[in-house]
Amino acid sequence: MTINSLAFLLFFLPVFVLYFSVCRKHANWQNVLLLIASYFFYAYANWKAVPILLVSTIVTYYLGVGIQRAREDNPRKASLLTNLGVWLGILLLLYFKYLNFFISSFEDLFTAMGFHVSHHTFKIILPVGISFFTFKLISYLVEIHRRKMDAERDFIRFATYVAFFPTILSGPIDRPKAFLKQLATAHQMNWADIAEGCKRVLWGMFKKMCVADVICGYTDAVFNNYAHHNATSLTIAAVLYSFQLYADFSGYSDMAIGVGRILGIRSLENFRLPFFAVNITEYWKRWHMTLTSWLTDYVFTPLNLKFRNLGMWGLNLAVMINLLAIGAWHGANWTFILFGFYHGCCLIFNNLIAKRRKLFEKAHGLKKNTAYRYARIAKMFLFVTFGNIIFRSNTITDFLGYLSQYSSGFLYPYVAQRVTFIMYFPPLLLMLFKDWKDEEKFNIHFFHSPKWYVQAVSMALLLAVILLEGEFNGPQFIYFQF
Amino acid sequence: MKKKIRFIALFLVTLACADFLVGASTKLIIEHAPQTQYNLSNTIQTLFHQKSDILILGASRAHHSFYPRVIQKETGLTCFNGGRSGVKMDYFDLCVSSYLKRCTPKLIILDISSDMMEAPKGDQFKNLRCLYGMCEPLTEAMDSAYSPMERLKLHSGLYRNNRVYNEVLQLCLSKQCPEQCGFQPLDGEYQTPYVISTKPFTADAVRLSRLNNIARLCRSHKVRLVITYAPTLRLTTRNGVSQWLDHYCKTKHIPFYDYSWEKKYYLHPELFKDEVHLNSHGAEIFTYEFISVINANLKKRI
Repeated sequence: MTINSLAFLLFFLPVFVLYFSVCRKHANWQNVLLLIASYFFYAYANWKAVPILLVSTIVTYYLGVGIQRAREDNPRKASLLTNLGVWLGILLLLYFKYLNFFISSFEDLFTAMGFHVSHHTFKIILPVGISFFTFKLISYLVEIHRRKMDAERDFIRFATYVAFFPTILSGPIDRPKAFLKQLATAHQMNWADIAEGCKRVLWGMFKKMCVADVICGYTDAVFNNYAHHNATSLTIAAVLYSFQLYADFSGYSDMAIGVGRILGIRSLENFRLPFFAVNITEYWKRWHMTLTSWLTDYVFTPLNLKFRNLGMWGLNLAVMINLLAIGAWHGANWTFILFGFYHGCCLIFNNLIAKRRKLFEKAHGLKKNTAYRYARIAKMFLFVTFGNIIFRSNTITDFLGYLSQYSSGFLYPYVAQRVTFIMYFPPLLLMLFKDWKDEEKFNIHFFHSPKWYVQAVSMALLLAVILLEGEFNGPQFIYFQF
Repeated sequence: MKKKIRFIALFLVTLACADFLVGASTKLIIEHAPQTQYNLSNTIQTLFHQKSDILILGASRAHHSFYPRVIQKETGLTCFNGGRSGVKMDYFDLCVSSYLKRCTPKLIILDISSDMMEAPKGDQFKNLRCLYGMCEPLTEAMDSAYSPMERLKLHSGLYRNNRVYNEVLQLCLSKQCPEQCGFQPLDGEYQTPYVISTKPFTADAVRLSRLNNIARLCRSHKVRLVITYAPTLRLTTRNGVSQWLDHYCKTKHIPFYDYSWEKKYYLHPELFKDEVHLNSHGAEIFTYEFISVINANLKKRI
């Protein structure tokens, strides 16, 4: 049951009605309803993983209470409990996401060394959303230990934070303090929130169904059979895949944020027009923001402090570890590690040339030059697109094969049906136009217009476009697998 | 409150207008659809307009192998190629039943590929939903295939035209070619020699019942039905589809013509566009050869 499905609408409508009618006066009732709805939603996606979610929530809840009690009188015990909780979360991830990967990697290593190893991989079913809720649990414990918040005493409220149904499968990764604070008060029906939420859901649906799921017809055809395509097709597919990945993931984030907003709960923003970043540092501040800020707070900053004696190299080491962690977070595959390494190298390079670039820009008066800025945006997009080829490839061999296929030359591209191919672009351009408008703050508002009739007509037309051009049986969200 | 009601009302009115416009424009375009070489055009012609003496049906191989102009020239009869890629036997059953309601052709040539006899993987009517309510046999088939919820959704012009409206608009914009009579010639020459597929073939029970229904309809309307297996570079062995068709046609007393093991085709990849489709030159050669089969069958009575 995905947010853009009819099944979700049938599930959400009763929740919405009960939430703002029977439960509207009591925050606790609303939380109980949200918790039941969240577990139902999660069970619908993968009922076998419900015990994992429940047990990890209970354990983290009691660890949180324990850390809170110990942090005043016994800081050592508080640290011990925090470490225990963090390692439990990491072990959970390691077991479900990486165990078979380690086993097969060690087997490959021993085989390469000339030893014969008979290995046994386990049939592990990856619980959906494990990367997202585990990070929520870890951040909760660390925040308590760092005295940034107190442990939540209301178990229902805490469990609702962990399992909140719009965000459990694919983020955004909400921070505990701000989120739990919102659950403390009862939410009344608010027209502005509902309207804003509906707009976000509609726009997310448009991105997912009219852009990502439509483009994937082309990208899948090329990436899955790259050996049969020429360099032009490979380039088009790589560029389109960058847009597909963005539309798919940010589309889901928009829908999740929108559904939360309808219920009066504000989740963190996950994307801020990443294709308008002028350098890789800015790109990671705009792309999957909740993951990068999480890793910055809990991985990069402590590492940077630890390596501060090493100066610039310490910073670069922390950057590389952080980016490798981002790559590994996506899953147990060497392509993700390489993806992280590639971005790490780009970031380090960017850090190394930052000073010189600033001097160059100052000397040539380029700081406010629009053409220069767009040239940097285009260059950045090419860097990101190259990284996305690694991300999309199933194996490193596939990635290398994809690159070597460029030797076939730039010939006429693969176009299954000309009209179908042409029709990839109007929704894509509309999406980019809106992003461009948001970036440059143009005075064109569509469904954010101050005039109510412009809003109503824009929303209706957007829904019409989704019904007419949206892919209703499209593939699963890309980030569900993570 | 008044403002909210106005907002919702305008939203719904705009949506309803868009829905009506899309639905009405589709209907208008389909009713006046010109003949082009595309799938939807062939479907519209076969289901609504055509009254030719010879009707050719089948998947993409039929669409690219039988040259109606050659048949018309050689036999003096009107001919239409109603081939359509990526559809199952159910679709051809609908074509035959709607065609026979309109007129009685002298001959129906049905080219069968293994894909046509397999169970559909998704919604096989997905690309035909825009025709819902316009063709009785098709509407009945959709009504029986879809859930009540899906049937309800089909009343929306927007949903009915989901992902096919481009194709509908393309009918107005693309080049008209009534002289091709549904046939789509392919350019280019294939270089790779033939392959032998050892994949065993089994016909899906529902698809088989549709084929039986086509045979029954033709018999009841006294229309001669001929089943063919057009030239291909993907040859099959004993368990293949052509062998199955041979056996099937013998038991049903339907003439069957298998061109898959004809040396003049499978040893000449230059007559093909790809592994399974003849190019325009190959199609012309094949159609000239096939004229004798047509003449022979036109002479025979049911």
